[in-house]
Amino acid sequence: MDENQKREEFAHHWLGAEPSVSAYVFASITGFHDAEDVVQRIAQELARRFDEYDSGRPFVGWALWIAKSRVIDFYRAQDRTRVVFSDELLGRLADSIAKQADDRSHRREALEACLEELPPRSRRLLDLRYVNELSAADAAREIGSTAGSVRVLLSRVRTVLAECIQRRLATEQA
Amino acid sequence: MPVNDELLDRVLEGNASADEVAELEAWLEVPANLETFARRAELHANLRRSLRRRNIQANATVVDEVTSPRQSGAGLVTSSTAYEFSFARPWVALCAGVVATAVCLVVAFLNFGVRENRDPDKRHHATIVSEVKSLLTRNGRTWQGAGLSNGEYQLERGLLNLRLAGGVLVYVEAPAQFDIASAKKVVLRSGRLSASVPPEGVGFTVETPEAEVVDFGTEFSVDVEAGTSEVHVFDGLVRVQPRTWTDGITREAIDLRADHAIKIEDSTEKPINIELARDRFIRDFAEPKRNYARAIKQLSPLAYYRMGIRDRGLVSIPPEHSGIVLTGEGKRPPHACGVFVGGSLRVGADSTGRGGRVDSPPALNTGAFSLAVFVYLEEPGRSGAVATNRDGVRGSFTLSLGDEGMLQATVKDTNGNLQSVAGESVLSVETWRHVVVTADGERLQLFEDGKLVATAPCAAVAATNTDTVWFGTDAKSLEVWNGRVDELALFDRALTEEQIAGLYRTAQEEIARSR
Repeated sequence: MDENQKREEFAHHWLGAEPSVSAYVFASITGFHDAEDVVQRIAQELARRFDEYDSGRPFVGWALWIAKSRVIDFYRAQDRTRVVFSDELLGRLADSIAKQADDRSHRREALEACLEELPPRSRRLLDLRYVNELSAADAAREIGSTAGSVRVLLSRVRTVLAECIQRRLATEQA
Repeated sequence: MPVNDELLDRVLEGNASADEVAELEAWLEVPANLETFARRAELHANLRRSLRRRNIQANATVVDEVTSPRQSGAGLVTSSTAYEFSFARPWVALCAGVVATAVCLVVAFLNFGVRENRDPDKRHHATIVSEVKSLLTRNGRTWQGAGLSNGEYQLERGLLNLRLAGGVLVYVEAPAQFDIASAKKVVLRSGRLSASVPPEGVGFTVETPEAEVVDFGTEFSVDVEAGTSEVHVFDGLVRVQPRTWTDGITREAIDLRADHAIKIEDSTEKPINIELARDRFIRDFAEPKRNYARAIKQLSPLAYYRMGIRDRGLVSIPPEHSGIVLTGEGKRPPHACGVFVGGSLRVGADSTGRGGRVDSPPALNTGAFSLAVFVYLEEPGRSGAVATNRDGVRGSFTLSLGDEGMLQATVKDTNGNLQSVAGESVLSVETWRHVVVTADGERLQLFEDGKLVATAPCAAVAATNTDTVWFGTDAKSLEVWNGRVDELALFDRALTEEQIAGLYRTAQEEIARSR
């Protein structure tokens, strides 16, 4: 396989595994920038070590195995007082995420549709958090509320979205 | 404290207390709860991705309108914003959701095999001469430089070959923690290293928590683990100075000569003489160009795998039959000292090695066949493939460890029948054994250490042209070898008894010379 073919094959595998790796890293590391930085490092390492990948096995499993090491590296480099998950829990989490990989693209598609159904106020709250990266306190100032209310509201919006995704998937599979 | 969606979100956002996280960890013991948590984390990741992508697309649309000649002067965005999104094209929208991903792919491929020197401290005391799949960190960050200055380093994965003052070559095997103290001194806190010291490098010192090892022009290895330091001398002379005991009395230095080894423990006062561990340390990345390789090449193998320590997989002579080294979880690299000091393929045990795979093997279609290889078991075993191309109904041969702990060779003949032969003795651990399997269309034979040990009638071997070959494992990764595989050669004819005895004799001479 020449270098171009290798790149294409890697890109194909990575696009399939990226949602699982992102979910895993977001579950293990708080802070968008830290999490995205770790996802980037994982992608770099996977590309660099692509020769080692055993194509007889699922790429996502290999990617999550490497992701676990990079998450642990991140923990080590951080302040020891930060709350982190144990190695054992990280391993079980990777297994669980690998099991959920099959429906992941459907869930992403469903989320796109569900976002369209949200009331403008809920969408604004999500944008303040996920796009503008405001803390609950800063977002509260923007909309004239309290940090506690913003957290509760955001949580409810997510739950509404999660239920919407489930409903859509159930309808599709019916 | 109930674990509900709000608590999951607080944990995922980093706003939960230590008590809440502890509560969550207990809750996550239930597999269904772990799935719920994973699903919620996925929602967070997808929201970040989707909402950012929508925002970027929205901004890109505005910029297109602004920069379009028809819309020029509309002034909807500032010039700096316009610049920021001036690269907007359809493919950007595709990649934007995975902003990091797009960058990753580009950066990762541009950086294949490149080491940049980002060290602000230019006083380098050691230089990386070569490395094999290494991950070197300093202060928790990946070390990108080729030069190493003073400081504490951690080799988390792979192998490193460093050069220090006076041409001293140091080989470090992961996992290892070491300091470069100066151009002539390395502090090994844990792990294994080997040093080759030319006359110009005399005085090179390795310090461990238990001793200081000063070299006088030699080749030696040091192994540090959990309060114990071992020093093994393969050539020349080293002086070992045990650390001052807690009573303040300085212990007498020991001059250690070639073929000797000692162990110094922090719990015992006197160093202990131990057996020299020739097979434990990687002392060279290069494969020695000596007689066994020449003897194999004279027999014109279809493919010859010397199992050298390389960063680019499993190298074959000729190269078109090269393969890859498979890896999994483990502590040590997928390489170890080989039968002739160079490297070998290390599989299982405590290594990351899971075998090798060749997707473009030579065709075996003459009805005759030979496989010559050295095997080394690190732990007693009752299974494990040395080499095979069998995968369901495909393939024609397997050499593996049988249930009785003896080697067993199986071939499939042209009628689809399987014929097997097994060795006579249990394969010893930590000993190299030379193994040759031959099939000439009439007989299947197994040779161990140059001697014929088993024969069975066998028709011509089934032809295989492109069937993948595995080394140290089988197609399903179930029969994983627990040790090393070295100097493997494949032939499409049966080697004679005389040729096999000659190979073994050459190997013995080679081993004696290389040690």
